[in-house]
Amino acid sequence: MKYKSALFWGGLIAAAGFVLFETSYEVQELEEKLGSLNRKIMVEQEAIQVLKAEWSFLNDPTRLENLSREHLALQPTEARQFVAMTIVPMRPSPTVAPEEAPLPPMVRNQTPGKAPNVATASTGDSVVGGGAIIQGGVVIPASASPIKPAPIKPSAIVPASAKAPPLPSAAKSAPARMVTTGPTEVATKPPVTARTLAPPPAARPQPQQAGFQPPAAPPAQHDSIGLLVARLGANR
Amino acid sequence: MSVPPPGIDPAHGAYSVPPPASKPRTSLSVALEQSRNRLMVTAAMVAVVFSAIGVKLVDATLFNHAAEPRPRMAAEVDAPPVNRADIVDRNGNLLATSLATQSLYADPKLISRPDEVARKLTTALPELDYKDLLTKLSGDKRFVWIKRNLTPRQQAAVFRLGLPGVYFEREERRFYPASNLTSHLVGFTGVDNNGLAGLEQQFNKRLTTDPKPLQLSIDLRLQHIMKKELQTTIDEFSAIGATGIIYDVRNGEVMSMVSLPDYDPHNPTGLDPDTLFNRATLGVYEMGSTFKIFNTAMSLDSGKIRVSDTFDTINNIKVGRFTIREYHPFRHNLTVAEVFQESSNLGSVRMAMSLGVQHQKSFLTKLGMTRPTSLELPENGWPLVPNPWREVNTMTISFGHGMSVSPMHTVNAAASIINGGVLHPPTLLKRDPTVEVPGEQVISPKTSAMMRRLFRFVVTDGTAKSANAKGYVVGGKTGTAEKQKGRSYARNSRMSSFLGAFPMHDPRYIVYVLVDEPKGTKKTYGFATGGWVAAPAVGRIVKQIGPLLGVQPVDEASPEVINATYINTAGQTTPPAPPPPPAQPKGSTVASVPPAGNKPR
Repeated sequence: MKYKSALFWGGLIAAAGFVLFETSYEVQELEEKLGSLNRKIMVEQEAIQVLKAEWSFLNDPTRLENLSREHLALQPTEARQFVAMTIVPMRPSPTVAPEEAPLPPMVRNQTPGKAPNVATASTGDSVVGGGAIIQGGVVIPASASPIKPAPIKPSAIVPASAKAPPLPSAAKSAPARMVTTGPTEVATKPPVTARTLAPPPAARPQPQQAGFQPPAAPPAQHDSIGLLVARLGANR
Repeated sequence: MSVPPPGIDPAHGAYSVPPPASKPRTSLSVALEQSRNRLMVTAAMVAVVFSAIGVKLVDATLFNHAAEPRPRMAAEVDAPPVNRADIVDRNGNLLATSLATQSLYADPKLISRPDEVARKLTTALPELDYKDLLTKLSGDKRFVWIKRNLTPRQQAAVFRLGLPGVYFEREERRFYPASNLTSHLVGFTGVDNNGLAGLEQQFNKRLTTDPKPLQLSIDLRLQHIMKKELQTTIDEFSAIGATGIIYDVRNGEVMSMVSLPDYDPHNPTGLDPDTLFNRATLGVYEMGSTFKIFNTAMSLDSGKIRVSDTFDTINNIKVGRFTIREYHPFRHNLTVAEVFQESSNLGSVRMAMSLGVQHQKSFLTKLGMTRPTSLELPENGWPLVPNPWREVNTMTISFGHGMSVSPMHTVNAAASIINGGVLHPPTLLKRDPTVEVPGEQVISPKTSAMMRRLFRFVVTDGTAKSANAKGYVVGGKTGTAEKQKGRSYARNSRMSSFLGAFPMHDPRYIVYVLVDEPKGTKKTYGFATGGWVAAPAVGRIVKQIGPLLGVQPVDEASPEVINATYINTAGQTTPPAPPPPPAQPKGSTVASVPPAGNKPR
């Protein structure tokens, strides 16, 4: 009996010792792992800090402005480019559902070089083509408009004859300004423009076939859009 | 402890029966007893030692706190790995941050071939001087700096060389992504990362104790627009400096503050003091006609002067050896509205004098013009206030001379004049929207409403027509002060300023521009006054910042705007009988869409 209990206690002690050692080694291992993870976290955090700084550095407004002047046709938004919601005409009942969602207003089409084949596009537009966009970033031909989903394009509702004659270089700011009305105008009401005015064919040939009917939209529509266009373009 | 453990007891029992004392002590029994005693002592000692070890063992294994430090906790995920907090603008753009960089040092004792090491290092870091490096590396010291604060790329280049005896040490370096754009605001730190100027100095303690970023009320975009337009103005008028402030009149937040010339905060040493000088807060200037804002507000708020009252603006005023006269003489007497509109000095003097010296002094004190503003910058100028405040001082102060305040003073006080009469302490830190903005009523809301009309009047019909930004209903007041050179005023060095606010029917922001010593150009017919220099700049700024600040453009001819901002030269505030319905822009029909290129500009 005595022998048995001694054996029992001895066994228990041995088992406890074994478990203790095992746990201790396990803890050591885990702590090493934790340490290395912490070191990695520190390294990552430092890297994040550096990246944040770099991001801010690259987003320096001065630099962004230079870049935008070089590569974009955008200019500061002017007061006249804002319209109240009440002025925006209601969407007409869609005759044909567009297959494709309009591009986000600020997205540039990747093929600016394509000359638009809209009947209303004046010759001046297609002559300048997309090539002129790059130079200096200031002279933006009207043909830059196909790259926006549905730019102001008064030509869609105005007879082609009423359109402006192409301006080569006389008023440098004028063409650029005209273009600027595009994005903002679209930004205010993409769905309307996308569905009532025919999207320029160069941008999306597919829906163009379908969307080409809308010029025959009800005459009442003409008026409200005309008002809108006039506000955006004329009201300075 | 001294009690033998139970395990020893049986042995004790075996020997515990003492020999009968009556027995004669034989030598054998003596020896036996002696050895038994020795055995006892030994057993006791062994027992004591083992039990001590046992107790220690239990203590060390079961109750082991603080015996060994618990080495590691998980690293905090959000805590920045640096010791100095970031500074960010109101939208969270970084303005100042600390980067952990590696600095390169060497132990020359461990470098066997200094020439080769130096050659390799100069190829990796071309900015190092070979000869200099060689002498450093061949020296006898155990530690020499080779280069502080390497970029990660440079570090990698040196790392790749695999040079023995060359080591890196982690250091921190302050980095300002916006660089010059906020240099006067944020300031800079020294080599040991202690703030030496601007907010870095003011909030040194806060930045080193609280790891959360310090959020300013500044908007980086506005800062850029302001700087761009100020630079344009400086270039156009060959000015020596300029400063500009954009200020939220509702809560006293400074949204932009630029002082030109500025500097690169990464390298602020060896600059001339003018570059380091913050004109917006530290510089105190005679403000010129912008002070008529306060003079007019004081007069109207006193209740003794109405906006339709007329004052003599024909006869010059002689005080001692000075004569106060108009910039452009007027042929008739002007109403208070006209005095403000045409910026009449004589009218202003007479308005101030009819109220008296004490009234002016207490009013300007109430507006905070006699002590530094509460702005959180160490560079905060004390106004130059006349002492004693005599009658002649009252006269000159009424049109902005004889008392110098910083542009920040002017903007802060003007905000209270148009925002309904509440003076908020200006701040560079973004206000918590849930906390009420501290403020003190300094003029009545009625006076404030009248002042708004007068502000607008100056832009529609007065000296600052060029500040107009269509759709944003700009109002304001021009100011042109001749600079004092020595004891007299110099005719041709001026401080030209414009304090603009928009939209005037419900003022939100003040845009202030002050240009130091502009020279007239051909385009301005040689004029370099506030209306010609600073007002157009403010107009351009408002046009650009309006959309960014979410100010909705309005039709300036709409009845609501007209009703809120109308005033005429006679001081009447009701617009002329039914104003003809604002002619709809000719664009109501489709055909009138103008040709694209045909923009008047």
